[in-house]
Amino acid sequence: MNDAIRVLVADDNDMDRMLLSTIVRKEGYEVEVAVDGLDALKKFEEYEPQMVLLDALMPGMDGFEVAHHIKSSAGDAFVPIIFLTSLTEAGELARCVDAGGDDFLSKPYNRIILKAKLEALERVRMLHSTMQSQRDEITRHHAHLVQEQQAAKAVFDNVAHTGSLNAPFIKHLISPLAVFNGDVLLSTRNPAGDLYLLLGDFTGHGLTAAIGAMPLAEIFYGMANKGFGLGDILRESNRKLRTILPQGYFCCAMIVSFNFNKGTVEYWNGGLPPGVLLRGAFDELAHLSSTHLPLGIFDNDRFDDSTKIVEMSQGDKLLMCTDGVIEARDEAGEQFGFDRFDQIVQSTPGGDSVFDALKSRVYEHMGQSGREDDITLVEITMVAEHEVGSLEPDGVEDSGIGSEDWKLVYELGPRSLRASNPLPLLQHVVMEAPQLRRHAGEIYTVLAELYSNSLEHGLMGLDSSLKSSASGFAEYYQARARALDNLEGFVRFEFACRIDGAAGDLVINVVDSGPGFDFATRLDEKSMHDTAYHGRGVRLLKSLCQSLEYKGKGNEVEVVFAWCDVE
Amino acid sequence: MNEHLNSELIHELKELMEDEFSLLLETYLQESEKQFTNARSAWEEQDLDALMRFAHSLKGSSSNIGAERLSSLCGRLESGAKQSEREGLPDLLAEVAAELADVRNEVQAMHSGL
Amino acid sequence: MAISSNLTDGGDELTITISGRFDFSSHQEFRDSYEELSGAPARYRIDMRDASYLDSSALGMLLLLRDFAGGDQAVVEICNCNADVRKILSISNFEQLFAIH
Repeated sequence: MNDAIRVLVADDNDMDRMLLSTIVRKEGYEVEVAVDGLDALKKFEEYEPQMVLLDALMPGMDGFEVAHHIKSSAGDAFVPIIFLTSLTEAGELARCVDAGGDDFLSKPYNRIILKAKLEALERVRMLHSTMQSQRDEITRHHAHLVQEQQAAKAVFDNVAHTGSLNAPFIKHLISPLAVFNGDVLLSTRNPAGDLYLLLGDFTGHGLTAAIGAMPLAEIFYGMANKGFGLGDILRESNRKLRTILPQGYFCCAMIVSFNFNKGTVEYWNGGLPPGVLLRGAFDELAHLSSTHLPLGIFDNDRFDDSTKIVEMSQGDKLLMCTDGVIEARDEAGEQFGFDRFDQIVQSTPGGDSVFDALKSRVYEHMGQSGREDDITLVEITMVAEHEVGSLEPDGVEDSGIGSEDWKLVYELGPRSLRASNPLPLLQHVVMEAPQLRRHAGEIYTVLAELYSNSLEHGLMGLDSSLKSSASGFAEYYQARARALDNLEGFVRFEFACRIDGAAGDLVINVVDSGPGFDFATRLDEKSMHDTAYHGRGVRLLKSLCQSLEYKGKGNEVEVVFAWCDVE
Repeated sequence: MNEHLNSELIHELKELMEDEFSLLLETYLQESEKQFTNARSAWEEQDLDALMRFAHSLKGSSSNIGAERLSSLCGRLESGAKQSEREGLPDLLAEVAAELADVRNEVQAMHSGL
Repeated sequence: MAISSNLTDGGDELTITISGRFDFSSHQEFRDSYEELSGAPARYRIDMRDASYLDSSALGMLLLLRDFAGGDQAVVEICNCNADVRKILSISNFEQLFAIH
């Protein structure tokens, strides 16, 4: 295959053709000739020249029409055309250019000039060809990348956008800008049935933003399922992200825990817009504002994992979003804004969906402007406990092997009580007993209730009747925080487990070093009142356990959790 | 060589065409005769458009061979026909004819001498 | 988005002025404004008087500067913020890391 460049010379004049083809051939090109317009087109298809010398005025189809056909026939490729013309008027020369001509050559034909023109156009042609193949390579490469990303996204979606988001009391919208989304929405239930939800917004977009979500999700789900509280999960998440994220990268996050039994939500907001809490009367808004730095910025010694708790009545809604919603811009560049968000939440008629109203207003606002950020929006409604549905059993195959007769004593002094939550550990130990695994939720709930009673009422001496009024609620948790700082004494758990065939029992004894209370008289009264938290807790324990007995000064309680699993 | 043909151009053509120089001269002789005959017929038929085109062609051929004066005369004939200045056309035609005859003689002489 | 910087006080204070949108595209220019100096200023001031907007990448860049300037020992001040910029800094609780005026 010859490397010489092919040139087509189209001229109806014998002499011109002779002269031109001689010059062109002598300059090292391969030449083909055509005698008129139709012949030129035919030769162009057959010969596939890389350059064309074209007579402007030919009988029949003139040069301009030929040029037009050649250019469209060439498609993506660049085939330079030199018009052969003795036209000298500017208007006529312009017509050559309009028809697709790239240069002119006039008579008498000068070899040096033609050579220069051919070489110049050849340079342009090469440049064009190089750019095209580079463009094609980029297109191929890009398609490859997109394909890889889509596979990775499938993995990512299984990690970061999962969990119990399909419950009827949760509504959510995750709208990614690119294949990967810097926004994370995780949701699961802890063993007691509390709903944990984490909404996160990693710095940046695309892959760099998304990659931090994997370890975060692992920590969140792993710890939540073991019964760890928000504070523990936050500390571990912050530690992990601080380790793996480069300097300057972080994750704005809000984490909530919905307790449907008590009608409370515990929360921590580091860097996200305030959660908007819509209360029953639909004219009361509270804001769960960001009071912490985002995750991944502070070292753990400075990280603040303290959470706040607020009450929610049935039907109250919590709306959370990432800054993409607030900063969504319309065509004029105006942001959606916090005020508009609040106003929509507050003014949506009772019974209509606030979530749907927000969603449609945000999209309406953005219009055709082209989204710049991820739009993620969540709404959780506080519902009655029985509407929430029980937890699915773990599905872990019970091999029937484990500890069948064991005892455990675990005592926590003030420093341990301040530093951490013993429930996950105790839960873990208890789950060693093979038959207890299917009762994980009930056990955890019992442990949690016993622990909080001993700690808050026994040791700290807090009065739970405070929690029944709105201001008293906040006061209660402030007092709890103060008491925790000044704690003295201990809480001791004693477990004794006996399994006999398909039946067994777990005796749990909890002692605190507090003064106790007059259980004989007080519990009789309390059990008749529905409203006091204290009474509610005891009723819950009684419903889950075979027996419940206060002992000593009232600073000791023993429950027996029994089961008989007949298949 | 003379005032009818540009000797430098002829020299370049000889170098360019080499063995085909002779053929080039023959082609000119054939073409120029045809083009002039057509031009004159066009005039006789009062077809100014055709006259313009044939004058244009002869201008081109002559230019190629270095017949500058002839080429220039053809140019005037071409624009005269284009602008429909009928009065001057017969004279121009005559001038073209005369110059063409001289040019042809020169070319013929060169051709014979090869 | 434009960034200009100015060293004053005998080389002890570097003022970096941001105008327009402070976002991802500003990354290199912002870093260049403080990394290329021959000495180490004792104080840094970020002047936001003409800054219209900050995104999370910009917050990240501020963190990088603070880290470069000595982390917890750094003295970095952010001043002349408009209401929008102020709000963004406040939601992120950056006043826990920077002096904001």
